[in-house]
Amino acid sequence: MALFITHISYAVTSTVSAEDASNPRFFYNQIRPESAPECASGAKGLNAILNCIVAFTNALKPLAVVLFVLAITISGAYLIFSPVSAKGVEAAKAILIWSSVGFVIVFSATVLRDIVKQIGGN
Amino acid sequence: MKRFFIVFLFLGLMGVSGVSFAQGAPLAVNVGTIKNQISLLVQQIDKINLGAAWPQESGQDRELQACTVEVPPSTTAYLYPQYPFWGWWDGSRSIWFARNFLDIHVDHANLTKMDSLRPEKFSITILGTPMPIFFDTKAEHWKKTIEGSFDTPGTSSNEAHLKNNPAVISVLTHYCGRYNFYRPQFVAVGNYLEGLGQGLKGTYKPSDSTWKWILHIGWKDVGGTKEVLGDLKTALDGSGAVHDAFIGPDGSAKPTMQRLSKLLDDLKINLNSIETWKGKASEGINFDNVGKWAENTKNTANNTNQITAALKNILRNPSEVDRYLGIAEQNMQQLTQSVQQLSQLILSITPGSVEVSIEKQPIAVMPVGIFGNDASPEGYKKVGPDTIAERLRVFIQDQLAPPLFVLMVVLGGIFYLFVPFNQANINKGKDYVRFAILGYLIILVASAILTLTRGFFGNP
Repeated sequence: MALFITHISYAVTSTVSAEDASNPRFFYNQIRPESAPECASGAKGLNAILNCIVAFTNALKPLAVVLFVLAITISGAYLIFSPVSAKGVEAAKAILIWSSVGFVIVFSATVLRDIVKQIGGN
Repeated sequence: MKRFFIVFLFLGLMGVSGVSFAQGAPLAVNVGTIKNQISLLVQQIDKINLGAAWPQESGQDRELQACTVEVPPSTTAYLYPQYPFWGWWDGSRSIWFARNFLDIHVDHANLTKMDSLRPEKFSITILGTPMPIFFDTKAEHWKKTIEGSFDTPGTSSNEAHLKNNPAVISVLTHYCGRYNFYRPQFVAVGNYLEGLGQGLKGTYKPSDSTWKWILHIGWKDVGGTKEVLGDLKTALDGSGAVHDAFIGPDGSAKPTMQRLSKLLDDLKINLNSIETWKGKASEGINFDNVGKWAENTKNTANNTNQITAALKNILRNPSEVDRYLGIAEQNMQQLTQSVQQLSQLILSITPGSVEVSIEKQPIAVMPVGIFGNDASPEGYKKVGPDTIAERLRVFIQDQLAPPLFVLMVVLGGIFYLFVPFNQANINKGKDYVRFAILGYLIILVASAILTLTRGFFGNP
């Protein structure tokens, strides 16, 4: 759990700090550096591919934070408009539950990998 | 389909649990035992540094110092096949000069070609802590040095010229703080030892080793004699100019030389063995590498078959571990003994006193290519299909699968986060996560099966 919280706090701080959020390139700058072609480095071609996979995975984490915030916002909107639309409450519930699940999965992927590794006998 | 998947996953987990139990239960204790014993072994290896306590005295003894030289990137190095080491012929002949006196370490990571190389730096070390020195081509003192005229490299006249070249001596005196730099008796022995040291580096495999071993030789000027003993290596080869002290009237090598040659050979063999142990010990114990251990220890003197058999038996018979480690320890004792004998021998044949030491240094581990790092035809032949298959397995299991698994799981999580826009993304997220888990499990199970069946088909 502590690891998970650490992951989240790291992602949040690394996403919204330091740079000016009003800069049109703010979001791009958050994602781009980690998925830049420079990731294709390594003494062997295979190493370069692996580095790119890792860089791309890392780049998805800030994106997950943004999507999670967006999902919560949308679910709130559904709830606000629930008196107007009866389906709003159900939709808001589903969004809250599944986006939370997704958020946890994104930041616990490495933990999950270690668990599977243990199960697999390594 | 869903039911089939659940049944398959259940069976898979049962199978994995069984494999894990069968593999882990009997070996768990032995892994700890091996780790403890290896750590003790490493501690003993760390104590091997016979010349570390060389006295730092004043006066003439100031020559016993260390010197590290960084060559500018523009320096070109060439490999001369007739020498078992590297030589530099770029005008900075002091480097070539130093080669005859000192232990030259090349940054092998920068050596990519065999005919024309541009190492960014190398170091020269005799004893003690290396002292970093930077030769700046723009500096005046360096210009003065390289402006010195030299004869054709490799000739005896050139060697004599270098030995007496004031510019060369001055720059080394200036940078290395040594006064009486040239001692002919050291040249003779140092030449051969340096060749030996480079020979060791030639056998060093970047992919398999974490440490390199460096032979250091130091000498103490006690009498100031100028007697030239000759090139020891030439004497051993029985060609070229030789010295009476080493070659008899009939042209055969005297017993002293034969003994020295044998000692050096033993030393080389044992160094290779210890290097392997040291490197592996630092990485920890991995039973997947047992086959590689056996391969790396094939050159161990008198123990090849015993070690290989012991390694094979480790997986089946834990009681073999002690014997296996005992053999390794015996090799280390041989190494120590060889070094001591060599030191004594050198002391007996040179006018001054000479001391030999061995130093271990960590090296940057180069990534392993599936087809190896040796791109030459000979290197390609060495990499057989078994090796390639093993490297592929290691690559997929240890390097490729973990990041891919993480990527797929993260993508699954991202799909969940897209649920507000499309409810169908829930199923996509589920598929990504569960198939990533299943695929990774299958890879691990396949590896476990391979480990368990190793040896049943004649593959160590």
